[in-house]
Amino acid sequence: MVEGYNGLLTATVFLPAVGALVLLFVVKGDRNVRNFAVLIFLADLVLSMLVFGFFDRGADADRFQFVDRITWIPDVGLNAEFLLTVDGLSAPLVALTGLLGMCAVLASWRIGLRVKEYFIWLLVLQTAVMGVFTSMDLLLFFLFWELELIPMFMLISVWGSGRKEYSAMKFLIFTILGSAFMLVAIVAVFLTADVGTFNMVALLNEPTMLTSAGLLIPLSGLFWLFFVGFAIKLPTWPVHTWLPDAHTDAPTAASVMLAGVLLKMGGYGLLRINVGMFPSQTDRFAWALVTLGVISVLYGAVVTMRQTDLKRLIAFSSISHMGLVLIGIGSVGISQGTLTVTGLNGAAMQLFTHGTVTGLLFLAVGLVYDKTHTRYIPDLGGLAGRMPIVAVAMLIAGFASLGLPGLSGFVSELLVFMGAFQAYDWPTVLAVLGIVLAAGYILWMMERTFFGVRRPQFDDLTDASFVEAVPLVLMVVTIIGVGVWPTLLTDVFESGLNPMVDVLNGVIDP
Amino acid sequence: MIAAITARPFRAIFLLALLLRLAYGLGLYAAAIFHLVTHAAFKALLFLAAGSVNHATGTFDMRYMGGLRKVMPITYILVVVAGLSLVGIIPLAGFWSKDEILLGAWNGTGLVDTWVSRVTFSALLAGVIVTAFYTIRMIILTFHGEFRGGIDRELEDKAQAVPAGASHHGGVHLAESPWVMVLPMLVLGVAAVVVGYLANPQWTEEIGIPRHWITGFLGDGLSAARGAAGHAETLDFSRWMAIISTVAALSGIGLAVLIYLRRRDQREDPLSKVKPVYKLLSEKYYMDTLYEDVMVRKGFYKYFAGILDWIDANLVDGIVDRTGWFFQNIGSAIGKLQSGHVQAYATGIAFGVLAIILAFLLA
Repeated sequence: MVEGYNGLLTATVFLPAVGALVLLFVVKGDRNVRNFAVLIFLADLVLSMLVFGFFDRGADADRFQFVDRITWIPDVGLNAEFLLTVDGLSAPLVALTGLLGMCAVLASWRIGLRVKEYFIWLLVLQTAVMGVFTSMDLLLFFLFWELELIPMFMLISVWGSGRKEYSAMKFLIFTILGSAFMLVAIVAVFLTADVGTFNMVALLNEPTMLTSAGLLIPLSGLFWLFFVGFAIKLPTWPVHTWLPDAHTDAPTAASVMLAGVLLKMGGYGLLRINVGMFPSQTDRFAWALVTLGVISVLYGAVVTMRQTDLKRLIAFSSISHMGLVLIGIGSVGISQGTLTVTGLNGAAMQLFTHGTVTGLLFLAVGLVYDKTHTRYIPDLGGLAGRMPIVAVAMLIAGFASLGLPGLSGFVSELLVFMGAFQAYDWPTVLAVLGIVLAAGYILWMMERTFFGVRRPQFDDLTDASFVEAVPLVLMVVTIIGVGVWPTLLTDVFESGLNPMVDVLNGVIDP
Repeated sequence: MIAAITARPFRAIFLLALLLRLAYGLGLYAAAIFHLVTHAAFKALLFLAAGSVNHATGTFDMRYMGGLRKVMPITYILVVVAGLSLVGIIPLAGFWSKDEILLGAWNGTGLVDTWVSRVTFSALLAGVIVTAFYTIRMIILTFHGEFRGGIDRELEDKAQAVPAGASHHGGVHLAESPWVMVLPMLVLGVAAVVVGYLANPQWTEEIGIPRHWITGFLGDGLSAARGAAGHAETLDFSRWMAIISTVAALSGIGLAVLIYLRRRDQREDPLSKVKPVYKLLSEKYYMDTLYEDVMVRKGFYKYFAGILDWIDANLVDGIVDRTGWFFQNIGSAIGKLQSGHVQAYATGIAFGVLAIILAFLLA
């Protein structure tokens, strides 16, 4: 079933890496570098759209499609494979990565310093993230997970602003610390007597493999070890403090990738591994997940209101929105009746929608910063008169962020709340308060930045150029499209999550 | 509503009255909806008129208006009509709907105890008086007396270049508003006169239009939807109630005329002489201050959010930074043990041996 070699996913994952190599050795001249990088990202976007578009959503379709499987470390007792495949959960995330990669590269158009290096790192980053979402072998998953750290570290520390070296190092060490815990868990899983494999597909299909005797670390220990790694990435309160610094000090494209894609890796990991492979533990600790989620939502939102730096404000709002993912996962702790896929679907949708929304927010803010050279909100004002395109993009992103119906943010929030309410009623109500707070900071931020009285030094600002506007339009179309026709995504996510829900329903005591 | 007495900005008066109107549903569903309909007519007209006045004077603050009836007579007449309709003077629209409610309150609705509805009735009647008072006050301040300067004077007094919250203003041009603005007002003016009677005709059964056809219709629909005992029956016209409410209205009007018309050339509001009461009312019972200043600006933003922000930056992130600092420096700290100082090494060895011997002895 999960056999064979298709090739599409290998191309999607490794095309950027190949592009990076070509850039390194062959392409000369900044202009050529830029154009070549855009071409590669465009090709990767097309490939990712092919993966998403041709994913079979039928009821009798295979769960895992586009399988690329090679046994590449023959049995030295290691039994690791090169296994790339997507299911309903990862296919939209592959599409998201393609989209945001395209936006990131276009947003990097004005980079002037060490151009070739910059785009090489961006391409390697794209490979790494694509690999995370498509690999179904734990060792390979871990490899790609670690791989994305270096390009991001370089991107922030060289091309960033503010305390870039500090932020980059903080990001790196904090996240690697999480991965260390994850590695322990991976090894423990492998060494468990009945398992002896890194194959995630097998583990997903038969989580009972892990519940048998012979576990080196008890199941709950494994659950929490994995959880720590993903929680730092998501990020969850209280391990969230790397995010504001990293997002604020990173260059625009890196912020877009960081907020739009890397954070989703954490959520994806939680869904794939914690929920998929440890269903009983997820049910057992759902209350803790919901608690952390609610704290993230409210704490993040309240602290966001105090921010005066545009990028930092958006960064903190990401913490708040990622809390919703945890709450959606917490719907697993359903107190009665059968678990429906709603909450998990909401969590997965939140990954996608937040990626696009926050990507757009950072793109717009990046443009504002490029033109006004300040991110300090009290110094801004009345920009909409000079930059209508950027203003509209920011408005749409802002409204999506606060969950306005008709835009994609609403869909995921609604699904999360509907799912989680059955399991945890008053915590969900508290989380809904987060929307009120989101309206507070988003509207305040937009009003202070784009409307009101304009300072004279901004009277000569130019609006977004064509190249700068393309990613804005791309994101706006996605946000409105998913907002108006969410079935585009929810169907796909459901096809991937339903098997997990079936397992969970078998495990949860009614 | 009492706060409306002292409200200076032209519009604030209407908004405060609006709040009050919504409280009129005592289980008198049909009457309440009927009142909403008539209220739509005269209140919308009053708002449009406020816009018309603003067009002429550039301001909404009544302290800087005055004497406008000579320059915008149509607006003036329409405001008088709407105002009297609001107050409930027969035969204008507002009278019929208000009267219906007063009657219902007096009779009791079966949903609440009679003493409750009687108390409500007294409150409503008091409301009629107060409404009349502030409406006539508003008309006199705006349209009678001498013109007091408009937006130009207001900005001068406040020493501002532009009005707060706006980047420009319309300027002062004292004339009737263009027909684009006047026409809708005229339409609403007609409605403010006839809608009441048309919707609830009293003496038309001879010509086949049932009495209370709209309140009956509304009430029935509502009762059906609720499935409950609402007050779907409609009430007959009571001459006594009409007299009582008219007397109340006239007394309110008279009081306002007495206080304001005679002093129409003064700038200061005569009520401001009663300082503490005036302050309380003009600050709208300090509710705005409570919400905006105390709860939001200070309580939430400064304290709650500020504390969380401090915790995040110093405690939560502090742990991260301290951990980093620790590991950064622990190397150098431990490194100091490698001092190259042989005597130190010897001392260390000596103490170590001692410790091992002791451990063996004690084990």
